[in-house]
Order: sequence, then structure tokens, then C-alpha cells
Amino acid sequence: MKQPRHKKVLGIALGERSLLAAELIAAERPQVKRLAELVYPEGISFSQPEELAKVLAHFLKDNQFSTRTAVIGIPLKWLVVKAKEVPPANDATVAQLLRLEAEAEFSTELKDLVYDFSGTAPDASHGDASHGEASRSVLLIATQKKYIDSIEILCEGARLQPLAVMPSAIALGSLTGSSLKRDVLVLSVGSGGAELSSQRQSSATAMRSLRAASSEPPFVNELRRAVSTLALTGTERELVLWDGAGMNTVDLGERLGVTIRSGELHSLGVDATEAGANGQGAKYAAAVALALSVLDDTGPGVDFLHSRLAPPREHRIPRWAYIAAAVLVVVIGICIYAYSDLERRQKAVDDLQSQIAKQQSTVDAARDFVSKVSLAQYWHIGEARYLACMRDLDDVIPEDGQTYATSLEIKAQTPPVTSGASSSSSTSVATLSASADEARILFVTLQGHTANLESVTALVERMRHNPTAFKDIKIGPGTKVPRTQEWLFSITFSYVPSKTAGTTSGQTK
Amino acid sequence: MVLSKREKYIGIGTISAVALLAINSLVINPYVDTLSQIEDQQKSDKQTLSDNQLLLYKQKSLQKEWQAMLASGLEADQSVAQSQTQNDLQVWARSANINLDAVSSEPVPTQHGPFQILNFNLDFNSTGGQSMRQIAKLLWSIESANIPIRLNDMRIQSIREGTDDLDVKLIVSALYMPPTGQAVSPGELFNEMEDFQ
Repeated sequence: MKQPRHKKVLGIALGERSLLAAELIAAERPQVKRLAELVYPEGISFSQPEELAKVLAHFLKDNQFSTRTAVIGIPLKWLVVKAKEVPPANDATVAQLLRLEAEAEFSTELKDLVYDFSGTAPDASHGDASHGEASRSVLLIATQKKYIDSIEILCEGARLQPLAVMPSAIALGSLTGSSLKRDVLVLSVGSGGAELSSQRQSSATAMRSLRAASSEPPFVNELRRAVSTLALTGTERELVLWDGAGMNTVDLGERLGVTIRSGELHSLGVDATEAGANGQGAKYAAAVALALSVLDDTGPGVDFLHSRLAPPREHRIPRWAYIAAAVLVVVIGICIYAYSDLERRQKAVDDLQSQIAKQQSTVDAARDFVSKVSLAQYWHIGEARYLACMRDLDDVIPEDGQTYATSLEIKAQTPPVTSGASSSSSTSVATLSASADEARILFVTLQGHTANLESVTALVERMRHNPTAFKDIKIGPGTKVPRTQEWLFSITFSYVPSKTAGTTSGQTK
Repeated sequence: MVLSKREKYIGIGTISAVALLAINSLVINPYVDTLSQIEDQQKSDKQTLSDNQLLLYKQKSLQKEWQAMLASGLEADQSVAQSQTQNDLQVWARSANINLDAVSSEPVPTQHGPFQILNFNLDFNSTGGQSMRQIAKLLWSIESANIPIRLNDMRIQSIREGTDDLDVKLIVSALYMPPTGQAVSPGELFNEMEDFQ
């Protein structure tokens, strides 16, 4: 089952001397919770909506009506109804046609009227056969705007939220016709008057407002005339009577010449057992029908609050302008965000630079100190680099009795100066460490005698087996010593002492 | 002038393209450039801060070592540094059974950063089977000394091939740091000497 749009709804059928209220709870079979009639106090009428609203508020409270959403029904007396034939078309097209019709029909009083239409769906059986397509019969219904304004004041005063304002006869006739599923006349008789509608199933084709049933002969005569003028397609005319005035049904049927059937609330598809209508359920049929009209999916057929014939609101600002404005707003928003983001980032940079500036004197002093100590460390190296170099050289020179050194020259490079005013402000600890590593390197020139050139190459190969210590090895020009079997050689290389080589464990050979 | 739908679309497309180009060159590109500059600056500043922290930490960690250097004779005047170094070299040589033929120092110290450097030239012959052992012992004494001294250059040459008679030349530099204000640069000293003459 589809979820209803409203769980509880109040139907209020307004009359000139009284109003009828029915509270319904949505369910598979809607429950009629409460039924009550408010007879307007002496001196108060619908023309005084503020006063009537106070009375209505008390009435609702006294009768324990809890819901605040309501469908308001108005009597036929307040309406002007015109039957119209429209070509088969969708509702939007029909609405445009009827709007033009309404402007023609009610041109003089257009501003003071609110209008809507009630119509049948295209139906071939009732259509214009000559054209081969179904025409559509609709009722153009108008009411004075002052009634709608008064209803809004009434609802506001009584703290009600009006869902729709529609003719009570339309609501009752539509519901009666659709529940019987055939064409009938629907007569609703109350203390203030009677309303007759001719139904083509759920759609009204004609409506009449009749005098009160208290003066029976004139009423019956008026009713007879009305019944005879309302066209019905069925062979047997049937009238459903919703009697709120205690009429004699059999006698009325004989006098009118139609079959009269008394309407009962349960025939509308509601459960009225809880309401305790005490045999007067038919009297409240209009109020129940009004509430029921918003409980189903179709909604009220006529609604003066949300009229389909209301002139479409003219857009003073074209649609493209809205889109352009939205785009502009988005662009401006992005620009503002971007600007504030830049500001935030710039502030972060400014903060960092401020921190750097604050530290500058301390950092300069620290840099000078570190550079000074780093320089002094070259003279406190505590590392026996020369001894380590001689030991490693001794390891690679073969004990072949032919190879021996005649000259050894070892030079250390001058330690770099990075301190003082000449130092770069960007001198970092990493740079100092790199300089210290470079300053440990020794540059060595070894000269000696060996058997031949191959022995020199073999010596160099032995040195290359220790690549971490001996680097950039180059063989200098060699010569054969005259009148001997000896070869004079010269080798230059860089020596990198291992980190642990030196410290005070230097061996002596 | 009535425009067809197609013309309207072309017009809207052209205006949109021009507007996008204008926004790109006037807003987006300057924004991206500025953003890039700020990000680079931020990165650089963060690196600087990090380096500074490291430097301050290094300074703290070097304090103890610096005090030890001062205690071992770094802070001295020229005459003290010269006599102390010369004396120590003599002692180490005797200890290694080496007779120094000559120990000379350069008369003018060299300015090296905040320090002064005095170079000493050592010249001696080492003979006999123990010559290398003696040289090694002297080298060990110099390289493991507590005073601020550094071996800059060493030249060992055999006097006669096939023997252990060796001619050894060493250049040793001693570091000292005169009290602030007393450091004399070579140029200044030269000028002073000229004035004296």
C-alpha cells in the first residue's frame, strides 16, 4: 500500500449558518475519528472570519479534534459554474484554453474571482463520434476571492493549515460517483440548503444549489425541475440522497420519479464506527468526502488555493540570469576562497620568516662557533692517517725481493675555512661534515723499483682490491734502469683512511 | 537583429571561450604563480628552520669538545704555541731515538680563519734496520698528540738504494688562537716590520 501524504486530515464543509467537521485517519480503510457540527453563534457569520475563527478554535478544542491540516469545502451558492467542452488534450493545454475562456467569461470581474475547473477524462463513449476522438466536458468554476481570503483568515485564526479549498458538492459527488461506478445524481440536503450534482461517475457534469428543505413543497418543485434538466445517460435515473434534514425518501422518490438511494458513510469506503454518528452519518458526508479527497493520490479535483487556471507567474528575471548569477556567485566564492587561502599561506610564510629572523643572531653565532670548532678539529684529528696509509701500502707491496720503495711523499690538503664573515649564511651542518670528510684525504706519490712493467701493473691491481682506501690510482712514467733488470716506477693516488683506522691503534712496521 | 538558435549557440560559445581565456590569464595564472612562489618560499623557510635547529644542536654538542681544545693549549699566544710545539717535537723525536737535524719554524704565522698557524719543518736521517719503526713512532706521537698539531706533509727518501738509510722531511703545523683582538695578519705584520725599519 502506498504511503498516504497525510496521516490525519480534517474536512470542514462550510455553510452559511453552520459548518460540519470530520476528522479522518489515513489507513487502508480510512477511519472517521470524529464528526461534529458547529452552528454559528447568534450575530456571527462567515462575513466575520476573525470572530468565527475564535469560535472555530474553541469548537475544535472542545470536540478534541487533534489534527491541524484541513480541507475546506465551500457551498455551491458561492460559486459560478459554466459547463465547457474542450478538445481532447492534456491537462496543461486544457488549462491554457480554459484560462482564455475564463478571461472571456469573467473579464469584468476577473481580478475578484478565483477559478478552477473540474472535468472528465477523455471518454470515447461520451465523445463526439463524428470526429472520431473523445471531447472533454469540464465545469469552469469560479468563486469570489473574498471567500478565499476569508477562509485563509479563518484558518489562520483557528491555527489550521488549509490543504485545499474546494466545493463540498464536487468532493461529495465525485466520491459518491466513483464508489458506485455509475452515473448518478447526488443530492446533499442540510439545514441551510441543498446541493445537487449530476455525476458522470467521479466527474460532475452539472451542479445546482437548491433552497433549504424545511419548506418541503417549494423545495420538491425546485428539485423536480433541476432533476429534469440535468442530463443522464443511463436509462434509469438514480439519485443518491445524503440527508441531513430528515426527509421522507420514499415519498420524495415517487414525487420526483426517480429511484432514491440513501447514502451511508461506509459506502464511501470509510470506517465510521468510532465516530459514533448516531444515525446522522449522512449529514457529515460532505465533510468526510472533503477529508478523503486529499488522502488518495489523485488529490482534490478542484482547488482554489492552488488553481490550475491561475495565470502563470511571470518571471521578471529570465532563467539565464539566474544561472549566470549562480555561476557568478560560485566564481566569486572560489575567488574569495582562493584569496583567503593565499592570505593564509602567506601568513604562514611570514610566521616562518619571523621565526627565522628572531633566530638569526643566535644562528649566526652558532654557525660561527660550529665553523670555528670544525676548523680546529682538523688539528685535533686524533687519527693516525699517515701511519694507516703506510701500513696499507706495506700490505700491497709484494715481498718478492724485487719490489721496494725509494721515495714516499704524502700530503694533506689544507683544511677549508668556513667560519667568520666570509662564510656563507647557508653553510649547513651537512656542508661542514662533507668538508671534514674531504679534508681527511691524503695525496700520495710512491716511487720505487721493481722487476718490470707487469710488476707495476700487478702492484696497482693489488691496490685496486682495496678501493675504499686507494682512489684515483695513476701510474706515472716509468723507465728501465740501464744495465740492470730493474724498472723504475711512480704511482700517484689518493688515500682515504677508514673511519676506524686511525684512532690510536696505528701499528708500526 | 534576430539570431537563429545556431548563431546564439556559436555566440555563447565564443563569449564563453573568451571569458575563460580572460579568467585564465587574469586570475588563474597569477594565482597559480603566486601560490607556487609561496609554496617554494614556505619549503625553503622550513628547510632553513630545520637547518638552524640542527646547527643549534650541533653547537650544543660541540661545547664540551671546544672546552677540551682550549684546555689542551689552543688558546695561547704565538710564543707559547711555538715553544710548546717545538719542545714536544723534540721530546717525541728523542723518544723515537731520532736525532733531529733541524727543527725550524716559519717566522710569520699564517692567518687561517679565526686561528693562527705556525708551520714547523723537521728534517732528519734515519738509519739502520729500525729506521721505519722509529719514523712510525714519531708519526704516531704527532698524530695522536693532545696539543693542536697536524702533520701536513711527509717525504721519505732512501739515501742509498738497497739500504734502510732514509732521509725524512716533515712539515707540521700548530694551531693557536690568540685572545680576541691580538690576531695579527701576515700583511699587518709585514707593514709593522717595514715601519720598524
